Amino acid sequence: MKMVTETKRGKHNLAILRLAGRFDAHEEPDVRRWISERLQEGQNQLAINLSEVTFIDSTALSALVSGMKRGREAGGDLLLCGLARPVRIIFELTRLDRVFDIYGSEEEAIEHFSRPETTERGSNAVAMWQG
Amino acid sequence: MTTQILYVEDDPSLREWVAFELSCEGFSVQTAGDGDSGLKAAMENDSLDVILLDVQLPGQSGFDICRRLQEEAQTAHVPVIFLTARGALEDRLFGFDSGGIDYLTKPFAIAELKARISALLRQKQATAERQDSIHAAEMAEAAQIQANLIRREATAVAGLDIFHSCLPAREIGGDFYDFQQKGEQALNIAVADVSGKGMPAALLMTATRSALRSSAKMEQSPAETLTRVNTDLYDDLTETGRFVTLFLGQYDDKSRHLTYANAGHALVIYCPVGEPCRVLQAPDAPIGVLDQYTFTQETIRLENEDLLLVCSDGLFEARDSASEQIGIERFVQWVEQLADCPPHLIGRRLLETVDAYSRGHEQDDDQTLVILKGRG
Repeated sequence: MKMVTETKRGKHNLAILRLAGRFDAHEEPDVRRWISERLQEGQNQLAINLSEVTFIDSTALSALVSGMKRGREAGGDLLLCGLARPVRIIFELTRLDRVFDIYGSEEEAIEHFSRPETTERGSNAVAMWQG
Repeated sequence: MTTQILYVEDDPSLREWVAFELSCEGFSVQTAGDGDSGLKAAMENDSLDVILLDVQLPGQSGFDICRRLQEEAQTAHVPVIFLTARGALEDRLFGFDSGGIDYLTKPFAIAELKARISALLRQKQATAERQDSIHAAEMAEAAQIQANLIRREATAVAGLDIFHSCLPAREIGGDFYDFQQKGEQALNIAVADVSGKGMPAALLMTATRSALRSSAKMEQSPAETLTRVNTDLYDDLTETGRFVTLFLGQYDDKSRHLTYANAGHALVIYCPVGEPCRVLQAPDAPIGVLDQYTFTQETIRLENEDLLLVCSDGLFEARDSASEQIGIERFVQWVEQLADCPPHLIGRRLLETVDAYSRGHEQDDDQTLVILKGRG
């Protein structure tokens, strides 16, 4: 699985993780680590872009649920965006579609965090690694 | 696997000679000429089997390096043999005190060094095998305990034929099913899947089964039971970052109805006689996701020949050798083709079909299947 992370600093501390390919038990520890590191750094507004993810299993879902709960506990949230059909079906079958805030695109998720005031787009730190 | 040795020695000719001799024995030898680079090499190689250390080295002494290696978790387990000209008793004692496992004074016979390395490796191997066999025995016992927890026969209820099967991906897993008879005419049927696999999932599986059994005793409805189980397990599941999908059905032989609550469990396939099969979407999210949540329930009929199949995702997400999944659509089609058969035949053929499909690809996840069919 490919993971790309982007941090938008500014008025809102927003971190975005873009995933691609299969998201299952093999990749889940990397995503858990990413979430933990962001929260430790004080970034509690997290968005995960799943538009390039072709499959998600229940272990991966549990990493997202855990991240969402921890994010909300820290006063922020973990949003999801860009669910492709096979992934959306799994969310619907498990009813997790009702638990997460899910957006069509990354822009819409960013906009959510920008409300009510507009976020200043600061420096973009982009890192990339292969999973 | 080739034995990997790190040899730290500042005398280039001795270093080359020993490295050459050991590599002729089939060992993979890495060398360093001073204390600092020796320590760095040891830290960077996490598959070292033995370290040979000179004592008088530029930079840090062999004794200092040995102490540092003992302090680091990644190198503390690698045995150190000192190879040194310092043969005084107090030096040798100091060497052992700093963590060395053996001490050879120069000049030494290369045959003796090889013999000492081999003896060390033999002992290391024996220890590892002993640990492996203890671990394997414990896992086998855990698997047996779990199998006993799961493999209980479904109590006979006049109006239902039942098939059940649970196949963990590893020795133990996070799936389970359970049956509880309530009086002569009612039967509770539970199918659950703890997210994750192996030992962590198995531990949570046991906790979930206990919570479910103690809650289900209280003559509650499936929705009330799931609400209570969620309350009981929420904190533990939050702490461990997991959730549990759980289907709980209560069959009443008098009304021929099954009332069920479903916390995010998929798939549940319902094939009422004379109608196409359909997937019953879970009304609620899994256990451990929402705190203080009140679960809901629904009712279906299970009269003669009506079929209900509850399986875990390990079945429809099984992959073939090209990594393509069975998928929900194809799995439902297979069920549809078998829907007229008795439950044990549907179960057996379905498992055979999944097995044939996924041959050549390791089983990714636990596979659980419970089939209920109305009778008479």
